[in-house]
Amino acid sequence: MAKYIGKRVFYMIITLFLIAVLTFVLMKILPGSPFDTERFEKLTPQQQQEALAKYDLDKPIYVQFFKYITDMLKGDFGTSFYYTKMPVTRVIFSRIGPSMLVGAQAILIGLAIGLSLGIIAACRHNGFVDNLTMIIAVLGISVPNFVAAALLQYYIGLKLGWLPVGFWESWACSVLPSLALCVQPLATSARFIRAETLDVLQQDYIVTARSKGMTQARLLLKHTLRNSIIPVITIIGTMVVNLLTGSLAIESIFSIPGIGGLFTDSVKNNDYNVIMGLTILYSFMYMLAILITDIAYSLVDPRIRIAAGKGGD
Amino acid sequence: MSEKKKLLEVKDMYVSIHTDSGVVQAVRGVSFDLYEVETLAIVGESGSGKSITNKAIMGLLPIGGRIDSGTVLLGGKDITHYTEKQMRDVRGAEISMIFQDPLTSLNPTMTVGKQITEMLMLHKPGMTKEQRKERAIELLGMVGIPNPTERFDQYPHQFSGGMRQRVMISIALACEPKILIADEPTTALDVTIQAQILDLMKELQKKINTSIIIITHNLGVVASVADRVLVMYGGKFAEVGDLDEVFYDMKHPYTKGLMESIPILHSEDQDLYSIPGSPPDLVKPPVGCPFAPRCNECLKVCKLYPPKTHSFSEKHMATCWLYDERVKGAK
Repeated sequence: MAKYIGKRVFYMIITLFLIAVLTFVLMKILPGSPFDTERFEKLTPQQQQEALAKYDLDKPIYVQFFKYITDMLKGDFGTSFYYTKMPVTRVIFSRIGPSMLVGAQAILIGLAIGLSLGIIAACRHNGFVDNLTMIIAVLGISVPNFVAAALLQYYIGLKLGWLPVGFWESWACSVLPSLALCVQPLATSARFIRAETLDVLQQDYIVTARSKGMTQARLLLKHTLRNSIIPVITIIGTMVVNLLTGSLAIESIFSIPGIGGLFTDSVKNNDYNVIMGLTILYSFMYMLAILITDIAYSLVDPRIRIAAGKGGD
Repeated sequence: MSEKKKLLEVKDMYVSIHTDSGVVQAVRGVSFDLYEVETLAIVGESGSGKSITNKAIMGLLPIGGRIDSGTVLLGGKDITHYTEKQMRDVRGAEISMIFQDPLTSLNPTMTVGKQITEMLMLHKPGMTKEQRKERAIELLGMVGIPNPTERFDQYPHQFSGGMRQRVMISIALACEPKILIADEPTTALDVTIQAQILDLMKELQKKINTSIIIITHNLGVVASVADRVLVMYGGKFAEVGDLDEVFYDMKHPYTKGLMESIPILHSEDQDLYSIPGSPPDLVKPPVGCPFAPRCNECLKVCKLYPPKTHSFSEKHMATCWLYDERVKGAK
């Protein structure tokens, strides 16, 4: 197991390096520079030269890249061009908190309701809960989350006035965006676990289990869920990262100072170091999620035990 | 033989399955008895209702399936009216089942040992955890699995097909049930393994005095294990009798057709005999004898009215118009 994780981490580092190279090159190909403003034009050539030199922008790309990578290995991702003199890590960390809070809450609510609904729906196939779940699932997947956001904002925030809307001060402000954001994971997880559970309930080993004379609850907990959760784990991994890294639409609707907005701003402003930092952060989170997914997979399904040699035929 | 006690009596059972494409009349008036420590083979082709009959006995009909009428007496008590809770005590403890495909019949995410001890936990509440484990290892040894202590903690995918069927048998017999229903237990296995599994079942039957209902379409299997044979066709029973009666003095044309379809080694004849036609559609079951359209001895009356059951000996019976007094007179 340790050997396997070590190997995976090694590959992760290589992948991250390649992503850094690619992003760096693509970023430089983009037209414009951080100083592409009218004010910059007004400076004297010497002042311009000084400004560029300050950020090493006058040097050849490979030198810039080499410097960036060596600094990165020391944990220094450079400073932001836009939020002057702020280190990239601080810029990112000041914005990631709200996104993660909203995202994590959305995931927890979404999975809790979605998985329970899906499992009940499968057990009561073609019953009321099943039909309701399917309606919710179709709506949740097809209606964009900003529509849900607008509805929540108008009815619960404005009409009823139960929760604050439009500013970011206390935890209460995070409730509505979390609700808006939880619709999609709720619908997706409900649909997946329902389909998987229905499939598992058709399996021969469920008939075997029933022929042993056990309660419905035991059948569900001991024989059904562990098998039906396996494919759902796959979608949970990427879903978690998607939500933790913030949603631009939800953030702008609820004016959350989150990371989704930061990313678009940094691209607009050619804030190279912030773009790089965010890309590497996102890639890292995705790769971590995939690694955790794979480990979780192997813990749940003995047929894909990671400890190579034994069993994995 | 006749002084043997009746263990299970199925009387005039009707089972229907409600599906999207209509109501399937899967079992239409099947009756049979099972005596103590005997092996009854239920023979018939796919869709003859043999599996459904047994699932109905266990109360494990698929979604949409239900027993419309008839009784199932287990030790004199009608279990068709049992509550789900009462049935739980029947399943596994009094009647247990093994299935056709050992590769899919075991839970892939649970150790083999746990799947055996679970059965003990459900029906032998007095046992401690250690006793259950000890008993499970003993059972694994009993069904001929080498290194049972080591195998106890392994998962089903680490076993071969034949070994998995042995595990299934050890689970089914863990609580020493009175009846073991084996639904095509050897169909998915290699021929050599088939014989081993059948021998094992016979050996264990003697050891723990269980009656076996074996469902199969393989007449070779029937010949090697059964004491009595029940032939089913189109949701009804065609013929029932002792093994010798059904094999050497068959009365029903369907049974004759089945016997003729057995391939014979060194036969001059190049072609394998098969009964022409296909089984009836049980969504719209025929009014008369279900076998009539394929029967080479079919009479006019066969398609119009359902045949009655005629006895030839104490245990040998067939449901066919050919043995009706009026038909005999007309001939």
